[in-house]
Amino acid sequence: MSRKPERGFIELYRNDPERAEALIFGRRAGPSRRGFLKGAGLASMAAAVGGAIPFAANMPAGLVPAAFAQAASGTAPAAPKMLQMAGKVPLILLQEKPLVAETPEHLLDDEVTPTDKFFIRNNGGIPDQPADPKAWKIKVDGEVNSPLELSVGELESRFPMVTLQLQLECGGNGRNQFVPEARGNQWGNGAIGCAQWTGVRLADVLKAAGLKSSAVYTAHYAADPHLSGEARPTISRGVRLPKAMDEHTLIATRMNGEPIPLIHGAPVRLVVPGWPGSASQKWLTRIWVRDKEHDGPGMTGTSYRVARTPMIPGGKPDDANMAIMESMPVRSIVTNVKHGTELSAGTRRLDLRGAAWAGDKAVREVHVSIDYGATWQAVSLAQPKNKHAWQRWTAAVALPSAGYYEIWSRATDADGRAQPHVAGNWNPQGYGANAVSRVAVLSKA
Amino acid sequence: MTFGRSSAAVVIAAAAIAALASYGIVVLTAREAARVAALAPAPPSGVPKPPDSVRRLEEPETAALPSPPPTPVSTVTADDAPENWPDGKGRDETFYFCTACHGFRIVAQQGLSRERWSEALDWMVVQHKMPALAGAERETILDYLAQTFPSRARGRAAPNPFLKP
Repeated sequence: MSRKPERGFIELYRNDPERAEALIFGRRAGPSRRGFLKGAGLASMAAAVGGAIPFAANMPAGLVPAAFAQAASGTAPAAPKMLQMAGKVPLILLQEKPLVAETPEHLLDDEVTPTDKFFIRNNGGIPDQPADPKAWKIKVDGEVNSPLELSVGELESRFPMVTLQLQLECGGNGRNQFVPEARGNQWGNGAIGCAQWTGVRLADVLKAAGLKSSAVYTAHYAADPHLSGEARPTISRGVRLPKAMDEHTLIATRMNGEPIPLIHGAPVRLVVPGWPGSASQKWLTRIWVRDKEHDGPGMTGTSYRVARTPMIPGGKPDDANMAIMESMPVRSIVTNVKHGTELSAGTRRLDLRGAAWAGDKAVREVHVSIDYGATWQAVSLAQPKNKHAWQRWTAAVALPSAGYYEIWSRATDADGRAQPHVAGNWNPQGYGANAVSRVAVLSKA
Repeated sequence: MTFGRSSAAVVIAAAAIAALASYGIVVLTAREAARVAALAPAPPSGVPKPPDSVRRLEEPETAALPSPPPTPVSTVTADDAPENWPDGKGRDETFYFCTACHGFRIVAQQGLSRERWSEALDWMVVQHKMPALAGAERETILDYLAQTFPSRARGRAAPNPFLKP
């Protein structure tokens, strides 16, 4: 049984990576903060990853090779559990109640994310399937001249239907990069999907209700039952009015050309692209237009908030210093090479495909590196299908030899902000971690 | 802790194998499964595929795995009992207290110092209306959480030099 030694290694690495490397590999951090693997140490680490490490000299000291990172990030069970669910490919199970599951990054290789590969995020229970989806009602009230109550059927017939490809990303995507650990689901980079959504513009519905000059914020309510069994909202978030009025913000009834499946919010949900996914309320029942920032469950304290002035990682938050997270940060992933792929002997060229996105912004460029960021090369980056759709990219990298490599990808947004090498701006609930993505490959000798 | 060089290679190889080992499978509870299976997403429709001009290195993982069973085959989740989680004083109390509302996997995902576990309990009370814990019960649960799921991160940022103990 390999359980015991595995824990020993992982714990040693967790507790003091530099010492672990010194003990196990004879590796020392140089003045440049880069490690130097030599002699028996290099051979040991090479044996561990199953091949030579051509760019060992560039590997930062104390950095757990990406090949180990999955086991190192979990607690009780080392290997991730997979959710097996009808109509879904196996997804990484983060929790069962509420049901939360992440898409492995290498399954996000489609330009339009198929429904069966879309990640799952719930905060409460899953409502019963509506007997008559077209009769489901949503209410629009608050700071409006004419409150509305519209059935899904009325919504679809009264307002123009638009179809857009829109990215939907959990606010906590990338959370497992934070040091020390931030509270919440320990997402990798797979809490993202870019499906085709069909619906009406929220702006058209709000205009029909007639916004008062006092309207500044939306508050979204839905039918998902609270896990405690009590009759109160599971979560209720909202957005500033300009985002609500953006022509890409939809009240959607179809996903990839089909009625939205129950797990994704049937029969009607919001799609607020580029902002934390919790604003895109599933099973929508009400939009309350407010005259102040919404204060429902999930809007206050440290929830979906990041620090205005940088706080000490692991420190106590000051609520007054926490600002609502709006646009998601720039991020990229490699989608055609699975983490841990073994390449056949003699492989010296690796073709790459991936995706990049940046919340409300466009992605300007994406670079890839096979030497831990010592050198970067630009990829071929496509334009988005429409605003708020992710951008696909392709590249080919040359592998100079057999051995262990990490493919790193780094996107830069339209304002010139790139993904950092290490997740920054730590906050207690772990939003906005967008360090460069890493995929381990082994080119066999 | 001492690690002999010769055994280290074995240890590391075992870790690497474990890290890349095949994934476990979890089946939803009957109630959850009935809900979601009742309205399974339609099979992927005519979504356009990207041109496959670049070589696909491997078949998608889905091709290699057995297709999902049409009906759930189990009525319990694999970790739906206290004995499936690390032993320790207060484990059962912690398990049953937390799982009154949510699964235990969200708890076991965390790695927090005792102080931050304490904050997490306060946060659960304020944000999620958890019944407040006090006295010996709070200490028991906090002890189990802090001892079983401590912060695992070490390096430049943890422990942070500016954090007061």
